[in-house]
Amino acid sequence: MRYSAIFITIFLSLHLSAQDKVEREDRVSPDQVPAPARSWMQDAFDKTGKVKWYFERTSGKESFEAKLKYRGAHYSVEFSVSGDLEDVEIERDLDELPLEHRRALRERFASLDKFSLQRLQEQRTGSPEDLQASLAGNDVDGIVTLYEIEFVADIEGEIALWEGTFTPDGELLNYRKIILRPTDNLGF
Amino acid sequence: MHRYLVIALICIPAILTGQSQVSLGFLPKLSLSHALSDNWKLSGKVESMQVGWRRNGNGDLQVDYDYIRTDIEAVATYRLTPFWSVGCGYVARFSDGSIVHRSLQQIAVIQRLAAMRLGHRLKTDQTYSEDGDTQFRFRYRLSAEIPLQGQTLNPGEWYVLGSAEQLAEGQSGIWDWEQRLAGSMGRYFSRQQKAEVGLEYRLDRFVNNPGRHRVWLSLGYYVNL
Repeated sequence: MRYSAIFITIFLSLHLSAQDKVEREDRVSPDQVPAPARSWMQDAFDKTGKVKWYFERTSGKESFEAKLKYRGAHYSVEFSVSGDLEDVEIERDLDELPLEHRRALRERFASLDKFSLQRLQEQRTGSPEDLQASLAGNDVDGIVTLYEIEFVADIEGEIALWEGTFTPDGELLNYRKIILRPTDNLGF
Repeated sequence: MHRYLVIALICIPAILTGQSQVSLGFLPKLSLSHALSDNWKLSGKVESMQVGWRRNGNGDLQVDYDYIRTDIEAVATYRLTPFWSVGCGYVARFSDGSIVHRSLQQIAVIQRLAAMRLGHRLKTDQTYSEDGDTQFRFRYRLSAEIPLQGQTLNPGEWYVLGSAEQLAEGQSGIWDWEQRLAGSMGRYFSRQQKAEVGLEYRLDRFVNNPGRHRVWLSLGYYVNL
């Protein structure tokens, strides 16, 4: 009886002390999404594209995110809770990038120990009109392009999975470690 | 492809109604893991196998409770990269009042895809017995974990887990083959805890014999301390 009580106490305390990173993504239906966001998506992409909507909470920040596959590429479009466009992210292969960006990034990657590229997203920010024009294939001056890259590297003695924001010149603006979920049910 | 699937679906009931052995039972397990450092992790598992129903030959499936065994396993793993790890461990199997010892070695790889995670596990083990030769097994398991609410799995969400495993086992120069298929529903409570309930199907002794079919109701609880 005494051991049962100890076991239950440990079990409950584990539940209550669970401190997870605040990053959550829930699927929502289109009618839960602010009208300006839906309207921009309809204007920027063909209506035939199937859009999946998510409500995201990342470190206290809330937003809506639209995900779709369009002309062979995966797009994520982020909106504020009131439906204002924040950025557009497009999954890319390194070889798809403009030559000068590719060269600069490769040079930067080579300076990181044990580097391995995992995922690359082109992030475009700008006014809704400029972003729409850039998605249509036009060169638009008002667009700022950055690259959000997930990579494995040895940084300060730790081989880990990192997410970094790189400029097209290869400058690493910021990075953070990605904490992976436990894999005990897959690897053990 | 569809033709093979239809043939398989026709054959499975035929096998199950033949001369083969069929048993249904329970396979609860509790897994504990603890990160000793950034790269080293120690994992322990307690798993119990109990048969609830059995059928031999052409008879009916009958209630036949039988406690089979309890395994206590400890594995130390070293993370080579965030996705690759190697490990080795030891299993003590308590069965019929005796203890069987087993050593194991494994390599595990995790693949992150857009909406799921894949796990590859290559494992070998050696089971030692006092009255016979050592049994060797070579195993490969492919697992897929798919979140059911969104593309990533967050605390408080559900997921499904499916796996397929092939095992080659040899003892005294005689080799056999085993196949395992499992599907379960899981609840991810937090980084510290998750629970899974599902079914696991195992087919063995079919190379030179009619085959033995075992279906387990698996219950798993994972704790990361």
